[in-house]
Amino acid sequence: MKFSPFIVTFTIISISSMLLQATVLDTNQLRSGLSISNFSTTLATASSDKSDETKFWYWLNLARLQQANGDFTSSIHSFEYAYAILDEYENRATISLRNIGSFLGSSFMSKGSESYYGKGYERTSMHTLNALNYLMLGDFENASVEMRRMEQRQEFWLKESEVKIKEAAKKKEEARQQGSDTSRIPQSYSLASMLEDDDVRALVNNYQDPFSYTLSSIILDVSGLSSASGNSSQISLKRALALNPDVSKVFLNLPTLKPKMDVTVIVLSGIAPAMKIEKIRFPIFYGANYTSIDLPSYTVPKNDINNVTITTDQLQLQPPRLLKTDLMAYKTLKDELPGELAKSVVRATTKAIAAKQASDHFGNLGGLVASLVFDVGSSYADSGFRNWEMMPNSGYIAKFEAIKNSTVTIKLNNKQESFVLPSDKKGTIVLITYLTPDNIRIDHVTY
Amino acid sequence: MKTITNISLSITIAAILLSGCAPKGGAGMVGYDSNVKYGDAKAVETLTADFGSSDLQSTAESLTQSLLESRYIAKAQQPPKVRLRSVNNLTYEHIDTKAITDKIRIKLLKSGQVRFLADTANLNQVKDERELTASATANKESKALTDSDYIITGNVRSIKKANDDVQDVYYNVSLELVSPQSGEILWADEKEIRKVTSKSSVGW
Repeated sequence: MKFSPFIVTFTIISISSMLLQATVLDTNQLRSGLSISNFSTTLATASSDKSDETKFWYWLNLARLQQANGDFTSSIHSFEYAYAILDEYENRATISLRNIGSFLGSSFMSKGSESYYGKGYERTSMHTLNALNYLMLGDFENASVEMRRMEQRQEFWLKESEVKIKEAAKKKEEARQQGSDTSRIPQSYSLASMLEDDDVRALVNNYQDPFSYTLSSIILDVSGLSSASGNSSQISLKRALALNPDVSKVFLNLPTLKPKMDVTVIVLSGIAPAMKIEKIRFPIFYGANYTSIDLPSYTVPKNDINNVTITTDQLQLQPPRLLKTDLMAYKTLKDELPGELAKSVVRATTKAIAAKQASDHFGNLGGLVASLVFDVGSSYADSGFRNWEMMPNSGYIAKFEAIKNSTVTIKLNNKQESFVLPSDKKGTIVLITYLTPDNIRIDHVTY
Repeated sequence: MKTITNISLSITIAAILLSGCAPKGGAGMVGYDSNVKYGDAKAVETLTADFGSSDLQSTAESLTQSLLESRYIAKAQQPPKVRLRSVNNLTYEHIDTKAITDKIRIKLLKSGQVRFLADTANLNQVKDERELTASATANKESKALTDSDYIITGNVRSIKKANDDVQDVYYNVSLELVSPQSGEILWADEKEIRKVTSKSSVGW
């Protein structure tokens, strides 16, 4: 009996993919376990479940949970694991067998066979959030290191994006030769209109956010290292302003106040969209047949707020939303979708040909079995395709002057929190984490 | 025979395609075997391009030597009192700069050419030093603790550049000898380190 290499390969992959899914906390369990009554259990489960410890997203999710729990040292440790995974990926050999394998897997089998190493905005934000860990530990110098890393990390993403653009052009041509037009986004794709949204279009790029640069400016300033590094605080601020002019609303000085201190309030709220694989119908062979293609897509963000108000005896301000993770995710998807669409059409066409081969060799039943195996295999692989699902969806920053020992009140939608400023310090930085309406945490550091 | 070849080929391809499941131990999560041995603490270390033990040693060695040869130390009537302030980390790495200053302090003290005052590691500006001295002037005992002849400060900087195949990291460690009374920089020197790593052409 003669077996087609196609069929054998896909069968092995499909069965293996099923065996690989061993995660204890799936996306939904993780994201729905954040209320105050479930949070400690979710964190404990995520910490003890090491089945995904080789995955980039696992350490990012854990780092964020630990940060939201106020365990900044453990969070730093988890972020370092995530960095190590990404560093290893970025420094792989020019011709890497793993990269080739991942490319072939995603080209012929399923989008879910790709290993996830994060998008540009996630790679940027992991350093920003880790800088907050150092900041809350009072280590301004190492917080500054993270902000420099945040900028450095962007270089590889830019190179990677160039390669993706070239690959996309090749796949588009390949799809065209197979008789499929991939120049338009299918209307049945759930994010079709979202990707054309004005707010998404307005983003300068898909990897730099004004939140990170504003925070960088403040950290460099507070650490006293700005002048030693070429006035880097001002350079960061200029970049933030170029990304979003609303950054100018972050800072408010009140010269007449006495005795006064600097107050920086940072709010991280909600959780970012989670990645998923969406299956849609698509015409192939010049519209003669339809097939099911799988495209990367996102769920909606969760538990986010839309309004932050800060009040003291002297002022009331509404800091601008500077971190817009959902929009960054959509912008990345919009930029990558032409390539993803062409790839998924080529993938679907290849599967159709393999099923046809099975049918030719083993009759209709063989074709049906082959199709089922491919579908089940790719479904399993897709279900394990995860991103940084615990990344905050929004970030707000305000830096203002207030009288020492006075009260600051912060309203997050309809939830209100207050704290009293110290009487003997030059400044304070307050980090507010809003996971759910009943799970809000406030940490601070003074200097 | 052809069937066996096809199956073998398929399994090989499948193994490559399943690359998503990276082996346990990759990317910083290496489970080392209990294979411990002592190494030469002064041997050149080239594990990564990060600032490492060899860089720490060579930096401390060359900057200390340069400082001891400066006329403010070498030609002083009696060993001057020095306070070693922090070296600022302006790099992309979490470098323990205290390790640099500690090593320099030990080397300077061993030379017998300087005396050190107690460390005020978190005060890293000349202005702070002057304020400290001024506030202590009224109290003779405090003045003895704080009145240094010189202070030493510094920075570690790095510049990273990379293309598809090569990563180049340049480190610059600089030290300054400053008069706390006048703010004048009396001596300065630097140690430069360049590290180049290249990617292998083919690998796992």
